[in-house]
Amino acid sequence: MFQDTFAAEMATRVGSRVEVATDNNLVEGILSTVTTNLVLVIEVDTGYGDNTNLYLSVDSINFVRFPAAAA
Amino acid sequence: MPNLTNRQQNLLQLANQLSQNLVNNNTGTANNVGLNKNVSLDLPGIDFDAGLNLGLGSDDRTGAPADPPPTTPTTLRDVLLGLVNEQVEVTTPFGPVTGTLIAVRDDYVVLVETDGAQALVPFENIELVSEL
Repeated sequence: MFQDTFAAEMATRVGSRVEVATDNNLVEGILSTVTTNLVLVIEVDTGYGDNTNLYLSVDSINFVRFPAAAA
Repeated sequence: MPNLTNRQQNLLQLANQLSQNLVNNNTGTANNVGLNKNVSLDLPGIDFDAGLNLGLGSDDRTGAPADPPPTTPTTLRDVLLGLVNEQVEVTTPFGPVTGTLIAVRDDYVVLVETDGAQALVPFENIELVSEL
């Protein structure tokens, strides 16, 4: 059901809406890319501005939350 | 054997034969399988005491060792494995995550929060685990 490693499980969820917590930050966006050491989250701007790419070190992630899909 | 009636002498003889049989039985076994015999006879003017003890189990000294004490977890992963399907709070430097622990994998755990969201928490950033 779940992959053996954290990075591998994250990789199966690319494209999902996600909240990523580090020691001092909470990032919300779309999970875009996952490698062994790096995660890319695209912070979605509700306005007309450009989206922001946020790169996070996998080792710095405290937890990742995948909100339940709206019914 | 002075001062004994014929009846007492017969009884004493029977008792001697009986005790001799018991001694033979007890010394004839190579290992103790828990069979001990003691017989009590009350004769007029003669006290002859023995006991009967039928132990059906084997010798405790040669049996299996006593049950080992309950194992205590030695790693955080062991603790978490013991809490699967329980309500837990996992604390990280950012803050706590609360939910039902549904999986423990090689380097992370999966919690389902009350609103249905799934949270993946890597071991390396777990500071505290508590069962709710």
